[in-house]
Amino acid sequence: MNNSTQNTAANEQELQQHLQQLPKELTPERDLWSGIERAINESACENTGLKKHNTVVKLALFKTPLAWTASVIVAVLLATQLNSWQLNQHKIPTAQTQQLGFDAVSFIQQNFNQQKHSLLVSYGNPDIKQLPTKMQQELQLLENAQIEISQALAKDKNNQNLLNLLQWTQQQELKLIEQLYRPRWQSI
Amino acid sequence: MANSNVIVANKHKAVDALPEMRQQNWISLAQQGDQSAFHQIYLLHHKRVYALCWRLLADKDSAEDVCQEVFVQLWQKIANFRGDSKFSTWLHSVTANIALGHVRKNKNWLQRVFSIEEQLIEQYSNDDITEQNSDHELTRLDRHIQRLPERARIVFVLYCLQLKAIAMKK
Repeated sequence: MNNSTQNTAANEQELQQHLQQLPKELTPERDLWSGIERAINESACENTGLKKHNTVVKLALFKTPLAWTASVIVAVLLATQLNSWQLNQHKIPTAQTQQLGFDAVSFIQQNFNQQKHSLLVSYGNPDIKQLPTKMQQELQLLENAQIEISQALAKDKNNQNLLNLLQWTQQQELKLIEQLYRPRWQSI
Repeated sequence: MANSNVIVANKHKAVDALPEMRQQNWISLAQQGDQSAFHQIYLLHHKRVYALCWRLLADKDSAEDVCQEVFVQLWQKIANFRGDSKFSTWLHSVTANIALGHVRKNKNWLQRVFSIEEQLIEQYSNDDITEQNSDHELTRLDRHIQRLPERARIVFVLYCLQLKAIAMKK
């Protein structure tokens, strides 16, 4: 035990001795500076490139509002074009119907008349004049509205809003007739 | 061998004896982009840096490459040196970190999974080591350091060179 301790101590002492003698410097075999110098100069060039890049970035930042404005203008133009294209798409059937000899207004009106007739037939062709005055007035108002819209459409056949409004009033009239004549189940 | 050690020790004393102001002047100039001042810093410190790299990496070519890498990075980072510690201490810390990074980068996946470095090192005999290191600057201790397994070598070198904080991390 004592021998091993002594050996360890001796080894430790020898190690410390060697450590003290250990040179803090070693000389590389090849010249390292030339490579370092080249790398430094290259990095300097890259930094210059980086500065240029930064300048480009700054310019890009400066140009950003212009880019935004341009993109917004392009978007608006695209939307306008798309909208007009969609309108044209809607107009095509109208134009086709005009070519076929009848317009969209008369087509819609014909459709409505058929629906109204079918509805009234289904309710046994009731006499509207037997309805309360208030109801009669309501129905008359809707008919007058349809007449006025149709007159407006005669001047502007391709007005989509007027066509939609005409269809809406027709649907309101059909709903009202349905409400007035629909059979109701009596509860016992 | 003893004479060469004495010469090296004297050189080291001479380096230590350099006026701190002179080195500080080179550092300040290098921080402003003066390459000739940086070259002076290189001449003053590169052998110590190389010694640390060689002992950590146990390979001459890798040590030279890493030594170059240290000075390239030093050029880029020298502006960060504010003089809170001794320049040589800061430089050696930078060197150790770069060398350890090099060790990590150059390990292949097999070496990471299995500790095969120890098997390889065990294959070397004392004679092989002596033949490989014909450099007269290498001491007997250096040759033994080279034989140590990688992790043990790194810890020993960093600990003995007073870079205990980095050794503890390892």
